[in-house]
Amino acid sequence: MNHPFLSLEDLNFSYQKERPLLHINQFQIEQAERLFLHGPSGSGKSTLLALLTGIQVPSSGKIMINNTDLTPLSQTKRDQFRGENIGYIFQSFNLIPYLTVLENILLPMQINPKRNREKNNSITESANELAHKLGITRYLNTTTHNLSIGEQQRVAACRALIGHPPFIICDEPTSSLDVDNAHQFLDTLLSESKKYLSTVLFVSHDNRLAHHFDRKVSLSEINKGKVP
Amino acid sequence: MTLLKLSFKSLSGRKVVSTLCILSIALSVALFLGIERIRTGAKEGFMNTISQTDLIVGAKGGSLQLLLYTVFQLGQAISNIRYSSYKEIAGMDSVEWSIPISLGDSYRGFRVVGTTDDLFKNYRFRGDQQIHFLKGETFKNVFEVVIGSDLFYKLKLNIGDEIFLSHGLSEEGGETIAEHKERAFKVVGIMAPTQTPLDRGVYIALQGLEAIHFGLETGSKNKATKINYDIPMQKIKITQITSMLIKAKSRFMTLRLQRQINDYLGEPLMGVIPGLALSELWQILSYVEESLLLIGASVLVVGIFGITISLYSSLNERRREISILRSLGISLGKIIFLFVFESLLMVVLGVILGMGLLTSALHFLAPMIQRHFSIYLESNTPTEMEYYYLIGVLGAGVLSGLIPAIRAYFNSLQDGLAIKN
Repeated sequence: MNHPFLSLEDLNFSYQKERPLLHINQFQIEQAERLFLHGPSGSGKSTLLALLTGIQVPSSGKIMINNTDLTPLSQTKRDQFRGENIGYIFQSFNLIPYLTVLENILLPMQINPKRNREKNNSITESANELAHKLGITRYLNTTTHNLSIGEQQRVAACRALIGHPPFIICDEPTSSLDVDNAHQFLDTLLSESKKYLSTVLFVSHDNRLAHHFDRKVSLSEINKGKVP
Repeated sequence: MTLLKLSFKSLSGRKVVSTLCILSIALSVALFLGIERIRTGAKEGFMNTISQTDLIVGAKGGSLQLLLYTVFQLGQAISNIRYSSYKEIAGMDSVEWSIPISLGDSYRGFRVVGTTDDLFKNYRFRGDQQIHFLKGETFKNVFEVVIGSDLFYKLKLNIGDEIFLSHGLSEEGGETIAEHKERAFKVVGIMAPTQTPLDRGVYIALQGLEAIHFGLETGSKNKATKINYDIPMQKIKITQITSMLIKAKSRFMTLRLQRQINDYLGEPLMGVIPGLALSELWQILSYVEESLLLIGASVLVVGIFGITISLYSSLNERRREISILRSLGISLGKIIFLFVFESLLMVVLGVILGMGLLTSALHFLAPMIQRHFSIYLESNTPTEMEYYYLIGVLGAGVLSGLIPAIRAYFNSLQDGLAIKN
């Protein structure tokens, strides 16, 4: 098992050939590694995340994640791969407004029953357990309207962690939280992901959070593309 | 399964908007189907005012005119036909039955129809419907009268009441020019409602009509002569009638009979096939039907637009939702399905609610509509056309969901997983 969890080879993405938005020669993340990717706005962050989640396909190059080559897969297969392998946390507005908190957390499991790597507990039990650890138990059966932004992000973390997917991607999830909340959020997220050896890619412009992680990489250093 | 559940949750999450949307569909469907029922009801009622009659016979003239004064009690005959001609034609081998009609007088705006018992025995409308009596029975004597149901409901006439008929035609409730004051007619029978012009008639025996005109043969009354009205029915001599209804023994004989009548040597006569005359008349009125159809269709288009608009307007706020669903592995195809299914669901609920509304409205309103407008409405059986319309509405519902769905598809391609605020 010496394969890296994620590897990018000669990755190119562009709308126009002469001006690549993203060009990465070589990049790897190890199994269960927690990586901090410093990506200020305009560094090609959105493009990279769209490629890693299989929303977009690269113009050329290769993306290997968890022993799967994403590039030759059909769109449907890539959607399926994302649903089964990736937990994703957005910067904000993570929740579906017409579902309760619990329904939001359980949604990925209902869309992709194969996502579950939990052997011992039922899905609802593990949802309760996660909710307890993130301190949102009392909101489980309420609508999402009354939650503060911090609470909403914790629900989003629950949803990303449910089923313990091998890969967790966070797109500046703490940018709208205050410092104390941000550190607490990170602690819980990282300790939970560690239990199931999930690989974590955390994208942020805030270098102060980097010390929580195993390694720090700057996107502007690995991206040779010309970002407009 | 998850997708369907999501659709339901999403609809109920936007309760107010979706309820309004469903209501607007329901109202337009109910209105459209209602207009359609009235349209077909009016046409059916019109075309079935008279049935099983093969020929209407009267003095030579316009065929529409003959139909109008004989069946619809509209307009006047220019000339009458001799009673002897009636007797001769009615006695022909190919004639199964005949009904004489004699017009000219009125009672408070309602036409007096001189006829015989044959009217109640033989007249058919709306297929095989026959005249029934609400109360009483047919006239047996010269000064007895049977009234149509309108006179019972509107003028509150009842069995045993005595009425004076007017000479010539009078306005409803208006001044009468000359009343036949000498003898009153006694109401002996009230006809059950037929939703045809029959309801507006006052029916007396041919002999009765002759009797009230004793002494008026010259046009004005001779005051000196004392007229004896108490002669038995059989002794009164009938000289002329206005028109007659005939049923031939077979369809084939109808055309021969019509030719015989048109070539009748005794006096200029004409035989008209009611079905043909009726459709000729309906052709003239077709703009009514067409405008009803147009109104109905516009109502429906507005309703369908409502769905598209409500789905489309929620699209921007749902961009985030779509990104979230995409991040959880829902494919673009399924997102399109979500939108289309949601609009389809609203349309289906709207259609069901609309049909329910219409059925209950018809249930309560049909008797009233029938009494006041003589439009016969059937509440149970949707026509074949209506099914096509409903399928059309469902199709339009799918389309109206498809437009926002396609928009959502392109938004999603453009957004990727980035959420635009």
